[in-house]
Amino acid sequence: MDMKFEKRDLIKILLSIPVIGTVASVLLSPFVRYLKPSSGPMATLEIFKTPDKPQAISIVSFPVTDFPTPWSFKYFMFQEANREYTSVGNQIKTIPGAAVRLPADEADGKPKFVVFSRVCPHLGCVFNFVPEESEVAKGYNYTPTPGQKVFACPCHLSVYDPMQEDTKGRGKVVSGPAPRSPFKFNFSVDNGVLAIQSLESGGIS
Amino acid sequence: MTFADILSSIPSVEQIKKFAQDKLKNIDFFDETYKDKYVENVWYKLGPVQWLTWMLTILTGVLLIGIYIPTTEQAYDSIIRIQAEVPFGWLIRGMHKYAADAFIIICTMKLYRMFICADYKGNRELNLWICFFLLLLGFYSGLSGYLLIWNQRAFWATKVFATFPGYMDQFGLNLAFLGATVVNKLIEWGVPSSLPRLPVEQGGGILLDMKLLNQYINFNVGMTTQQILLGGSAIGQATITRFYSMHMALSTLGLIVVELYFYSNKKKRFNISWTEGFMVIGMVAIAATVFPAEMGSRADAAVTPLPILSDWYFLALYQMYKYIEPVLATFVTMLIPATVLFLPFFDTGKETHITKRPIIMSVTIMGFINFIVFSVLIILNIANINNDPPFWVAGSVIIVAFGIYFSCLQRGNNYWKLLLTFCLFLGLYLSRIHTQPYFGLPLGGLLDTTFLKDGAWGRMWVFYGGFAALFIAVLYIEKFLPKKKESLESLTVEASHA
Repeated sequence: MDMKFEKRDLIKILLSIPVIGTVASVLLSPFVRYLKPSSGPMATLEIFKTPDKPQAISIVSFPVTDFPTPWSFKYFMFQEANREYTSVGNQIKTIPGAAVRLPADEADGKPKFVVFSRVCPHLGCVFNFVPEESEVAKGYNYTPTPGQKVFACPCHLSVYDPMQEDTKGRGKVVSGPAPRSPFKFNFSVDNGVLAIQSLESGGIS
Repeated sequence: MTFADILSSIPSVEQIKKFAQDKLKNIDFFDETYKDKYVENVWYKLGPVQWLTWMLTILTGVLLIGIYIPTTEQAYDSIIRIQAEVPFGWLIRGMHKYAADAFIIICTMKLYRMFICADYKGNRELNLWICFFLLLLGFYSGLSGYLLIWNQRAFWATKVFATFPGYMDQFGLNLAFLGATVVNKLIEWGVPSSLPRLPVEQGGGILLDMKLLNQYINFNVGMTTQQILLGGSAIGQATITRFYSMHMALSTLGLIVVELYFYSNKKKRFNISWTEGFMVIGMVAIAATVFPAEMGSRADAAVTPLPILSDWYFLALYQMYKYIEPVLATFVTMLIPATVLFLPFFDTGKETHITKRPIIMSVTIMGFINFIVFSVLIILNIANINNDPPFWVAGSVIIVAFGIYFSCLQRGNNYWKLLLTFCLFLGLYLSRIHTQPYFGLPLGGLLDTTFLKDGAWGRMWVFYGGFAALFIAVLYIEKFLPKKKESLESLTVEASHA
C-alpha cells in the first residue's frame, strides 16, 4: 500500500473526532447549563435530557351553571411551574385555556365539555373560540358548515372543530397547517363543578 | 471501484490546507478589495455603506443602553420614557431601528450583487459567507431587539421563531416514514421481503414502531434549541435577559473579528467619500423623523391579535408557514440558508455574466419574486391558504426547469454538478407541497394524485423521481438534438478525455 503519510494523518484526525468529542462534551456539559435551563441543579449531559414535566399550581374550577346553553364557553388561565435553572429560578408558565359546552349531553344527562389549551400546537400562538361563522369565513380562510362552531388561530389560520376527532382526540384540524388537534386539559365534572386539573404533556407555551 | 481507489480519493491534509488557504486568502468584508470597481459599477459601494449602517446601529445602541431597563415589567415603560422624556430619544431610537433595517436591506442587496456579478468566483466563496452571516446577525439582532420593546408584535414573532425549531425533532421520524413508503411501494410492486407487516385488512404495509424509533432517532435537538433560544419553556424574564445580552454580544464579537482583520491587513474600512456617508446617515435620520419608530401595544401572553405580522423581513416566511406542514416548513427554512451558502460551490464555470449562468439567474429571480409576492400576500391579507400556492410552486418549478434547459445549452457544464444543483432546488421548491394534491393542476391531471395523500414525505419522493426523469429527458435532448458547432466540438473533446 503506497498510501501517503499525510493521508494517514487525515484518517487519524477523522477517527479521533468522536473520541475527542465525547471527552469534551462530558467535560463541558456542566457549563451548558448557562445556555439551556436544566431541570436539576447537578445533572450531567444536559443536552440529551428530556424537558422537565411541569406541575400544576392550582386547580381551575367552574360551576356548571356558568355554561347554560350549548356552545357557551369560558376562557381561563391555568398556571403550572417548571423547575428550571434560570435567572428567575422556578419559571411559572401561564397557559390560556378554553372550556366549551358541547350541544350533545352525556348518556347520564350530564353536560358534555371540551377543555382545550389555547396554545396552538402549530407554532404556539393563542387561538380563540370563534362562534361567528361569518368571522371564520372572513378572517380564517374557512367556511364552516351551518351550525359548525370552531376554534381558529390568528397566526397561521389553523381551524379546529371540537365535534370531530383525530388520533389525539377532539378538535380535528379542518383547515390550516397545524399538525394535530389542540392539547387537552384533564378535567372532571362532579357535583355540578367542572374542575380542570392538569394539561396533557408535551404542550408548548 | 476498489478499496484502494477510495483511499486514494481521500484528500490529503496538505490538499485540505491548500483548499482552506486559497479561500482564506481572498477574504473581503466590506468591499475594500474592490476599490477600482467603484467607478464602473456603483453597486460595489454597498460594502462601505453596510459598514456605516452597522456602526451607526452600534453607536445609537450604546446610547440607548444607558436608559433602557431589561425587565418584563419596566421594558415597555422605559421605551416610552426614551420616546417622550429623554432629549432626542425618539431620534436615537428611530435611527437605531432604521439603521438596522438599512443594514439588513444592504446585506440582502449585496448578496444579490454577489450572485449577479459572480463575486464568489475565483476562490471568493467565503466573501459570500461573510455577507450572509452578517445578514443572519442582522436578523437575530432585529428579532431580539424587537422583543426588548416588549410589545405584542415582538412577543408573538418571538414565539413563532422559538417554536419552529421544535419540529426538528420530527425529521428522523419523517425520514423513517419516507423510507417505509418506498419499501411499501416496492413490496406492492412484488419485491420479496421478510419484514414484519401489518395484516392485509389494515393495508399490509410494513410495521413501523414509531415510539421505539423515536427513542433512537430523537435527540431532543429541537426542544433543546427552543430552550436555549428562550432560556426556558416560555417567554419571560429569562428570555429578555438572554436577548438583551446576545443582542449586544454578537455584534461586539463580530466587531472584534472585523477590527482584527482590518488592523492586521492595514486595509481601509470606509472607501467612499464622507459626503456619500453623510447622505446615508441623513437618509436614516430623515426616515426616523418622518416615520417615527412605532411602539405597538404592551405584550400580552393571553391574547394573540388578528391579523398578526412579524418584522417585514420575516413576513414571507411567515406566510409560507400558513401553507406548508410545519415539519416541511422547518426543513425549508433551514434549506434556504443552505442554498445561499452552498450554491456558489456548484457554479464552477468560467462565465461571469448573469445571462450565461441560467440556473443562478433563475434562482435569483425566483427568490426575489417569491419574497415580494409572499410579503404582499400577507400584508394585504388576500391569500386563500387553500388555493394560492400551486401557481407559485408551478411557477417556481417552471423557472428552474428553464434554467436547467438553458444551462444544458451552454458549453462546458459538468452534468453531475448540474444534477446536484438541480436536486438542491428541487428539494427546496417541491417541499412546498401542501395537503391538497394540487400538483395535478399544472400538469393537467396527468399525475395520479391520489397517491399524494400518503403523507408529505411520501409525496416528496414521487416528485424527486418525476423531476429527475425530467432532468434526464433534458439531458437526452441535449445529447441527441442537433446543436451549435462549437458545442459539438467540446463534446467530442470531452468524449475523447473519457
